[in-house]
Amino acid sequence: MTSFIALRKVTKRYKLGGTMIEVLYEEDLTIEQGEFVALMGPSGSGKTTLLNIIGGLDTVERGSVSVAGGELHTFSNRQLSQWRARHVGLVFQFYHLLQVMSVERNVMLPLLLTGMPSAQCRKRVRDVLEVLGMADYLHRRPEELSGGQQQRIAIARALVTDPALIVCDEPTGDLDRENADMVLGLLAWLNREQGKTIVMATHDPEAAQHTTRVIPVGKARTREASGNHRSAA
Amino acid sequence: MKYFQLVWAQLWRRPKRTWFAIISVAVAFLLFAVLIGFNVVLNSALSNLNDRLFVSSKYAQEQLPLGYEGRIAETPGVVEVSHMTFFGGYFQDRRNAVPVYATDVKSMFGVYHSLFKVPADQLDAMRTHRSGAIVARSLANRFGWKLGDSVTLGSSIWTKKDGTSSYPFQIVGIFESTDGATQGLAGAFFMNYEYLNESRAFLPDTVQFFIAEIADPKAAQGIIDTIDARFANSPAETRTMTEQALLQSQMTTIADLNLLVNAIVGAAFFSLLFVTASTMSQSVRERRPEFAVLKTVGFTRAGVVALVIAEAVLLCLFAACIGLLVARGVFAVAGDLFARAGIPWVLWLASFGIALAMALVSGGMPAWKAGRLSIIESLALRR
Repeated sequence: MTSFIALRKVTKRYKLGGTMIEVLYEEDLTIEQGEFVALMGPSGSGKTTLLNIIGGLDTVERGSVSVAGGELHTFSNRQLSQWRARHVGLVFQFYHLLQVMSVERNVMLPLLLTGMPSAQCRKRVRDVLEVLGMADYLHRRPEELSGGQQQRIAIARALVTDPALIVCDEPTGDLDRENADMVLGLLAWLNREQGKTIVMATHDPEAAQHTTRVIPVGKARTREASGNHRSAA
Repeated sequence: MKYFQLVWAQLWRRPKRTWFAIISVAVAFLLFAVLIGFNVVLNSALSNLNDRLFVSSKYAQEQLPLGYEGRIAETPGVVEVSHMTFFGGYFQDRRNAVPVYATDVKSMFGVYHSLFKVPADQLDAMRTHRSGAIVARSLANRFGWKLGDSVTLGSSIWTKKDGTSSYPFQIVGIFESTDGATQGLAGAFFMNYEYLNESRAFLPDTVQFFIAEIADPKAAQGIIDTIDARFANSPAETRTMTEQALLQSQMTTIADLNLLVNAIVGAAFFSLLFVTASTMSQSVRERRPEFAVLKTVGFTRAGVVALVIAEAVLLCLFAACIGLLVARGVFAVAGDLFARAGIPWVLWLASFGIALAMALVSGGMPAWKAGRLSIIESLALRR
């Protein structure tokens, strides 16, 4: 049986200045549906790169990437966009909400692509915000909210299309402990109660405690394209 | 509609910058609409002036004897003749200029039957009221005059025999103009020539010019030559031309101005391309993380390009609408003829076409860049 997320011998390079850096080298990774996984490692270990590949934001040089039934390494740009719209919700460290739009409009963004009627979109947004305890902030602008509240809105945006996979890049990195615990508790609840598969990159051991599995990232090495390996850390 | 709200919100991300761009574009469209609209109205007016001749003194400012009227009427090809004398009128204050013409209203409305409409009983009333006046609807509206009202106008030209310059009138008629009416007469105040002639202290039995309606506009040149030859070597020689030629000669300066304004408007549109392109580029550059977010939620490259183009189109069309609406306001206050002519529909279409082209040219490059931006690099800009 195929795993929900399966990366096989994945290699990823970046050009940094004049040098080609190999961030991932023949990496393997398997995550089953319903898991809440933390990718842990120091800065530069490649956890965000792995997350971007799993979330369909980045492509690989070599290897295969199978996520939620999609063979991402074979997809064109357009196919990746369409896959992201259907299968994945993304949460970032800095929330990335559009400041010129209300909370309702921000959460509704992914629904614009679904062809869902407006009234149904609004109901869906209200329902999701209700679940996250943010329904009272429907018409506020993101800038009027605290960091924790903004992150909850970002999570609502990730959830609004009901994707099977939630990908979070350092979701508590910009929050104080109290708000961080609240956000992590929310993610754990989504995993437990709604069966969402969640992959989270973090370097915070306390954040990792909320997950069902921790995958250390860091043994991966970066190397110059010539093949001369050097440590990423 | 769902996308409209997204595009609209993005457009007003920096309101001051957006307003600056909108005002710049709107001013260019205002200039464009006023100039072209003026040309359209002018050409329409000129096309109605081929079947009348304008007979004035060969020497500027001189009057012609009233007796010429009969001799002009005898000229083969002439259907009807009337005359006019400018009164130099004002109402209450010299700043309230009123375009008053002393004339024989019956023959004058006969010559201009295709341009002015006045009820027959009101025309008859001029015969029984020596101080009667027939005024344009727009003029009556301007001063709140109604039929039967008594008004007194001053004349800056014709002092009366008693030494005063005040002429009491009674409004006995109100006329309507058709679209082809020349602007000056479309808002005129017509008084009986006899009233002026009997009252004024000097230059009795003279008029400023004659208007002759001719049967065949193609025969105009022959009739012109005949009339001018008839009064050659007399104490009051004439210079005859078609009304169209007269107006065109008066408009030569304006035509040159049109050329200049055309060049200015062209240059304004061209430089506006850079203003809008710069506005869009700057706006897109600032929003790279936001476009990246749109891509993360599933917007394709083409979708992002379409959003930026839509933003440029919305900005240019919105600004063009403002410019055209202000131009319509300018037409409304510029005069009766312009208000009635309004902004021709072709001008609306042309303006929207230009606005669309401007949006595509100025928004094309920023849109292409927004479509191609890397999600990873753009999101990292927020870090």
